[in-house]
Amino acid sequence: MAVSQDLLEILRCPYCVSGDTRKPGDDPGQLELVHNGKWLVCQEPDCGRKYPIRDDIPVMLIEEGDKWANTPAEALPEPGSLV
Amino acid sequence: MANDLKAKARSQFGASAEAYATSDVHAKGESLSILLDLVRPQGDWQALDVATGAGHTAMAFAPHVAHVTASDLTQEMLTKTSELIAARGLINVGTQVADAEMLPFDNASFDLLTCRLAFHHFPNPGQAMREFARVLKPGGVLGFTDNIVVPDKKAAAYYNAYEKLRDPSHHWVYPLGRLQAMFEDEGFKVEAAQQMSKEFEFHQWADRQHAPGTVKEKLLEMMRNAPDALKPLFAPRWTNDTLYFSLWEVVILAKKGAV
Repeated sequence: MAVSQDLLEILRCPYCVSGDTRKPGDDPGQLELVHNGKWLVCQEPDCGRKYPIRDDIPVMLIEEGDKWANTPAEALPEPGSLV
Repeated sequence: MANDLKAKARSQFGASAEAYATSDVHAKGESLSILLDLVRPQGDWQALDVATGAGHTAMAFAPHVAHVTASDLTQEMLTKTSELIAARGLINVGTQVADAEMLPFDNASFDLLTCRLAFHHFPNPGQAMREFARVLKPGGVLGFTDNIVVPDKKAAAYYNAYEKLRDPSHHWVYPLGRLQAMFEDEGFKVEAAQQMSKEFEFHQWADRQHAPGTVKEKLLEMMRNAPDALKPLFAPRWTNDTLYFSLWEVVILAKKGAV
């Protein structure tokens, strides 16, 4: 599996966990692994950002999450390679 | 502006990944061994290396801690980094693409955060420092190195223009006092700061960022005309048509206050 359970425990949606956009609550921006472990989906109700895992490396950039915010999880493509 | 600088960083370092993978300054620089000595890493620590580049700092700390997460803004760079980590047989280093100013981690996730020779690229350094404080556990250790400049404002501006001409993704190098204030603003206590001067051969330094000939000429002209306040820093030496000069770097050990 590309992302270890240990990493999943601390990995969060950068939009919902950091800076001025941090969502309320003790632990905002939790992620769910979908698509055979190739995508991470933010679990905040009004977020929907999705982050690809390319070549076993999670791409945790807000601009990347934005690209897929309106794509249903079941319609996500293969994440592709980093280069 | 901020996104523009980040795009430049991706472009510059994506194109220079190989050069940074083999750069002596980054792989073996004196600051890396000083950082290891000052931090005194512990075997049960979870570590995060921000803006890891070719992963030299992450790989140096990996044998001394439980796990290192190596993050960088540049995807191409991390591909190279993953290759280097695999080649060294390190199984406790993970990589991920992340922005230092918007870290994708829960609060208080790490015992140690390292950031080496990267802070001068961040367009919002205060925001990055806030993120460092957020993801570190109370009492967590920040191991930091970056270039520094003299306090004189005009000289500092000249210095930063010089660096930016060679590397468009350069943002700003600060005097030590300003850096320390940024640390303290975010609740860090600076426990040690060790300053050093490092020597470069001009062409090797310029070529690492693929500076074209016209830019090199301008850089040489700027070095010749540098203000007096920068002379102790640059300390230029011309030998057989080759320029040797210095840059100042500081290694800082800071601890996040217990909440």
